[in-house]
Amino acid sequence: MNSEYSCLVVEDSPMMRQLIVLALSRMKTIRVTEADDGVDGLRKLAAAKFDIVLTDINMPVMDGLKLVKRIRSDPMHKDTPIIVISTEGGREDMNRAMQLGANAYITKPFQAPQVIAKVKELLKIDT
Amino acid sequence: MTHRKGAGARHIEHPPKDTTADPRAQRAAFVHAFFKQGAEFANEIVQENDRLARDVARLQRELKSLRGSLSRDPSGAPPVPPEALEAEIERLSSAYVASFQLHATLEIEQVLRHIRETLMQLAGASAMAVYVADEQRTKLWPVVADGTDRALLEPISLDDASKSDPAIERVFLTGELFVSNAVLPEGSRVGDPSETPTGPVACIPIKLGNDVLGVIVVLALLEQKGAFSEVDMELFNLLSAHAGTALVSALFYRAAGGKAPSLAVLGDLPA
Repeated sequence: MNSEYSCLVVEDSPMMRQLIVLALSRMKTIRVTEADDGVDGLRKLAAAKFDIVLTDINMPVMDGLKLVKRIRSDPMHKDTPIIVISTEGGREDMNRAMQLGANAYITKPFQAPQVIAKVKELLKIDT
Repeated sequence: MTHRKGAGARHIEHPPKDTTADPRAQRAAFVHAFFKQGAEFANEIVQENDRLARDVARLQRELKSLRGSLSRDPSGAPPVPPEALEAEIERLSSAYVASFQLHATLEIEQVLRHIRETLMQLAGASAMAVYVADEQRTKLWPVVADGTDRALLEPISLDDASKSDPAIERVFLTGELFVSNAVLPEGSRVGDPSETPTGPVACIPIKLGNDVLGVIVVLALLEQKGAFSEVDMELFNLLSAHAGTALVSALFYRAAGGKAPSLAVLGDLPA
């Protein structure tokens, strides 16, 4: 088991980003890198390997769905677990994200334990 | 924990067969070996039992100590249930982040963005607007809208009932938060909880001290958001108390040409 996991949080809202980072900071074994849109996320992914990616959908420059597609087409990250966090609560939005390769879908507003549980599940961290 | 080979699987060692020896001597040797190994086996079980009993006693001591440290409270209050602790962490995290972001900028657009995001991202609003009062305090003008077209929002005339909204007007005049009964947190609702709100779902007064400068209006909620939570109510109170200060500070900063005054003047304040 890794002693420390790396996580990329892609979210354009500074408020949501801070809230997600704060939630993840409750897991002592996770190191978080932040990106403020899809392109910034790709830049960070090109520079390092991450154990998990959390992304919003509605973002300027490049949205979260395009980012999921790009991650899945990159051999280096094609197996990296992706959690999509979005205000879009419709089933079709969730299906679209999952079809593109997301591993989980969380709707906003979320509660920290939801995010922590999903991250632990995808990273196979025992509680 | 190390796994030991089960004592029950032990194989009895037979003495080497000596066909020349007396069969009675062979039988005696076998019985001797049998009982010797039986005694060793019993001894091992006793030792294993002792070790397990010591482990159980040690774990019970540790558990007792942990329980003691968790429930110990200097005031003698009973231990806090985990769910209540989790709810408190949630409340504090949201309030901390909303307050941090609101006061982390002096740019008016950023302050308005943070007000919008507190409602849209944290509290689950799908449409909202910010109304501010004019100098005569007779009209409230929509200055920000999200999830709805601002051009479609009419100004609210406080001196003309036909161009007013009772909930928004009341909040502006009283400075009291309004949340529609249907979307109040569970346990806070009165009357029919299934009633559909007809007007705004929430109106938050923008206060600066005792003055009300405007009203933040939540017009609709996200599909997945059934009702507000206690955390949302906390966020509304926070916005009510802090949004005005953040907006006025940002306006002063803009009026000063985006330059912060020297803090040296603080030295002139009476001690």
